[in-house]
Amino acid sequence: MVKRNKRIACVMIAVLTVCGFCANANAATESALTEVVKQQAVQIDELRSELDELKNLTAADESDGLDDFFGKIDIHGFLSQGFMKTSHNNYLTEDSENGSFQFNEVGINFSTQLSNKLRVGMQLFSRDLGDLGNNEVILDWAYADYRWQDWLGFRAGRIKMPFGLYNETRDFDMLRTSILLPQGVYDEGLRDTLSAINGIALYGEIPLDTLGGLSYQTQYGFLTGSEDGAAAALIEDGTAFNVTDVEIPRSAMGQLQWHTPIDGLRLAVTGGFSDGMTADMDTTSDFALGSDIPVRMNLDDIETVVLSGEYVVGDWTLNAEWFKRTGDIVTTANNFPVAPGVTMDGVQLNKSKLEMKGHYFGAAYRFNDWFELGSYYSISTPNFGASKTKDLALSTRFDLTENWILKLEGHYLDGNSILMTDMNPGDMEDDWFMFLAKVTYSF
Amino acid sequence: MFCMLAAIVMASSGTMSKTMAAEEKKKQQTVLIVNPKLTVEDMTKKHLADIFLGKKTQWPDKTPVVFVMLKGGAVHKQFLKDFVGKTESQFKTYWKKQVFTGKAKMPKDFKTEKELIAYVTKTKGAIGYVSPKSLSDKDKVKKLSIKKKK
Repeated sequence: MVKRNKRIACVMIAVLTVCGFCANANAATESALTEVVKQQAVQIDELRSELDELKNLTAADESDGLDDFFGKIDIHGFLSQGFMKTSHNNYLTEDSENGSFQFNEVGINFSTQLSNKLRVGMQLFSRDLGDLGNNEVILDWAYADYRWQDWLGFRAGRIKMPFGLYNETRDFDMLRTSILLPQGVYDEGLRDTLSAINGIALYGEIPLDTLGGLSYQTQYGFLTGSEDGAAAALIEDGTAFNVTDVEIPRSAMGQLQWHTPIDGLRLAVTGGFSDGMTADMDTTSDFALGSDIPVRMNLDDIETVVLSGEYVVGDWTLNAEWFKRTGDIVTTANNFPVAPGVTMDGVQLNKSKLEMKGHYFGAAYRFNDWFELGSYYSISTPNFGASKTKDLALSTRFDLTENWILKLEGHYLDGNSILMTDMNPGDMEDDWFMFLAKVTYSF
Repeated sequence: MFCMLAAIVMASSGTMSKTMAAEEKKKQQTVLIVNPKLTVEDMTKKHLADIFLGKKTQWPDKTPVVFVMLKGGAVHKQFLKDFVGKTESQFKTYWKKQVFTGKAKMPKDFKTEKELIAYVTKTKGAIGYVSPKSLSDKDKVKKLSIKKKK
């Protein structure tokens, strides 16, 4: 402010000096007078420009002051409402065959930059997908982010998990072409569990000069399990067990992305490890040997690998990913009746291997500011020995305004191994269609 | 036969050089500007893209990078295409991904080039882009050039 006043004072003195020159003009000859007037005109022009510049700077300062006031906390959010209908089989909701609106997502986030290197933020999220979510509000992410250098930053809190290229953003419908991500890699059944990790993370960007650059993320912590979550529903499906608690105490996840020297081409590998996962259950009345028998499922040495590639060229986006997860499952029971009137603890009911795998490839093309068309072909093998489900999807995306998006999507599915038997008590069809529609508002 | 081939090669090389000239002309429609206090004079295209994608956040002298954008328009689209390698829609989606996962805030943008120039003039570490016609000799910003590949 002091500097600005000084500059204004200088400008005023200069104007007065110019006026002084004018007052003494009578003493000069006519030609000299003309020359002086020309010089003064130039000086006045310069002074006027300087005054204009000062005005601009003052205006910019005022505008910045307001921005700073309102801009300290950034607030963004979204709201999506969907509809799904299947020709046969109930998928994701218990009523998809009749058409279901139990398909929505709402989120709002708050974040602020506390210093050049420190950032904090959180997002509240709620969704409904059939029996899942039921619009209970959860903490989607909440963490502090300290970016010490571009090649090394630290995060602590609840952090979105990098799993393939699109897991971190899967809750945000407006950030992709399709409504459903390819189920071969992004299984809706594990979405809640794999959404975020509670713990710490390291990340950074490493330039490789002519070879492009690397981005990395590593995370360690625990995953959130819930007796009402999708993972619990998967465990309960088709069994006489009722899950009462899920714990996933130790998980590590890392991702390395190579932004190749070919513009728009990135390749990534994601690796994950979880150990000590437990699901505590009670037997239901459907269990032949009686209800309320405490059972525990242990899942150990769960290893996950995802290989990803994405090529964005012009208005085209081409992508492909492959995924595999393996692990050991042991189910034991306590207070288990082994003979009339005799019970035993630690009875092993089952020991098996977990093996899930899948892959997809897809393409999307942006025709103009408001229309995008996409398609993918995805193959899921949801567990060891299960048959494959093939999914051919065609998606349309209409950007109605800056904030509103409408999507319409059709799927042809061959196979039923991704369906839950509890939702489909009768026979399941092998060939079926699914139609999805979704409207999203974001800001 | 040889003459025909030579003619085709010459004609196609002429077309290529015309295309390259047109490309170069297009790139000249965007001028990169930085705060006059910055010591940087030029940078590679990749370095510039990294800045506008939030991957590079410090200048060599450790001054924090403050990159600013135009809200839209031909200059904005041309800049994104030529220097960041993204369409306007791809760029917007990229930054929304950062925002909705808590990694960054949306870049600061301006409706007019004049506002952008005024901001870059007074903001330490600022970098932006405008059309050549919007700049006058009175503007105090420094022009930045792109290093040619060796």
